[in-house]
Amino acid sequence: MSIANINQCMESGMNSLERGDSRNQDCDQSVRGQLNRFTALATVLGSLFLLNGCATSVGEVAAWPVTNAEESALSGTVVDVLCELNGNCAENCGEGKRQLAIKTESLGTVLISKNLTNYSGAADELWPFCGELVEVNGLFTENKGIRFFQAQNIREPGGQWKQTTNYLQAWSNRTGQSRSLAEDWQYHDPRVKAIIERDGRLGLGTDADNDYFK
Amino acid sequence: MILSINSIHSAEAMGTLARMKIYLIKICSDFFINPFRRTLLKAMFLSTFFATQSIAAEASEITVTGEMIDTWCYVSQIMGSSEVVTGSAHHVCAVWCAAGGIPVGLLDKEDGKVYMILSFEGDDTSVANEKLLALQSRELTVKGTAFELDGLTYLNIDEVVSDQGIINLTHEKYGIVPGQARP
Repeated sequence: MSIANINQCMESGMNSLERGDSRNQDCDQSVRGQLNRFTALATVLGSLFLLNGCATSVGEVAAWPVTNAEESALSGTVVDVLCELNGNCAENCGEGKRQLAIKTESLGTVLISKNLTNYSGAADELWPFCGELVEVNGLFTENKGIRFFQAQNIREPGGQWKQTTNYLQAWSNRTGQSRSLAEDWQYHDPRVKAIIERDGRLGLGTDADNDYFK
Repeated sequence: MILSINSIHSAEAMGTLARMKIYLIKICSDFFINPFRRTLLKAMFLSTFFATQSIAAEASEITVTGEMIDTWCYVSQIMGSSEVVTGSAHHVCAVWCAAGGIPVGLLDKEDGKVYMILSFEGDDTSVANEKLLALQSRELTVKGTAFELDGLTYLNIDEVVSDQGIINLTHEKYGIVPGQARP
């Protein structure tokens, strides 16, 4: 089924709705199947980028398939967001336990939500620079009214770039597991494993998982 | 201030006001005469200014109902549309991202607004907070304090009023996203 067919089916469905008829079931199922295939393709592409994001050279910005992404650089002071908001400050910006931002002159306080490694945030990358000036580059995105920055490289002003991959060593230190396991830490994290074991992969309990994955 | 000064009528209060005027004149004259006091006054002014700046965000007490989400996948749409990366289809990935320290959000059921969670029931650990991991994909009604800062809305959750569990059964339509989250 082509995109044109999908559009045709959607239009047909909308027309049927406007007329008060029931929807065309064949079209509905075809469109759903096609959308599921698109979703699967997007997932595979996204996952490939997640796995290969680190392949870029130090200092360069990798092009992840992020909606509205713009390659960008920021410079400013590393701040603890909670501290900025209500004066509730922690030593060394919480040492990786609090969400951190970069306070810039032009854009205000920009939350740094992502680093360069799989499924991980930026607190471990930023807290060593707590209260200091830094430069970061990466991807800026604004979608659904939310402004996000993925920092891929970080440096002191004018210094050497370093990729934002501190998380892997930090995870290894926290969990006592090897650095090599940290490359796909999400499969080995004890807390994650415990939650999945208890609630299942759908979050609906182990019985629901057994029914769905059989 | 003007209103409060105008409302002063008693002689005692007028006396206090006169003393305040004299003190202010003394401070101002010192500012121009005494270099040490000038520096001190500048430092006091600047520290007061920056202290005010650092807690400039406006806070509001709210009660909100919504799904606990993985904000990175929701905003970036790196794994598909926002509908695909919420609910049961994306539960494992949401737990991974929360464990990895990506900000956990609360997606308001009413207006689609996303609140970035900074503290949970008095615990200021918002990165990989174990309680937040366990609540991913669930629909909660919470009470807390919301702050607006430079285009984002942050939320300190004070209390979970109710937990409806995972009711957004997206796996029925989209399967498991991403595929690596399958057994």
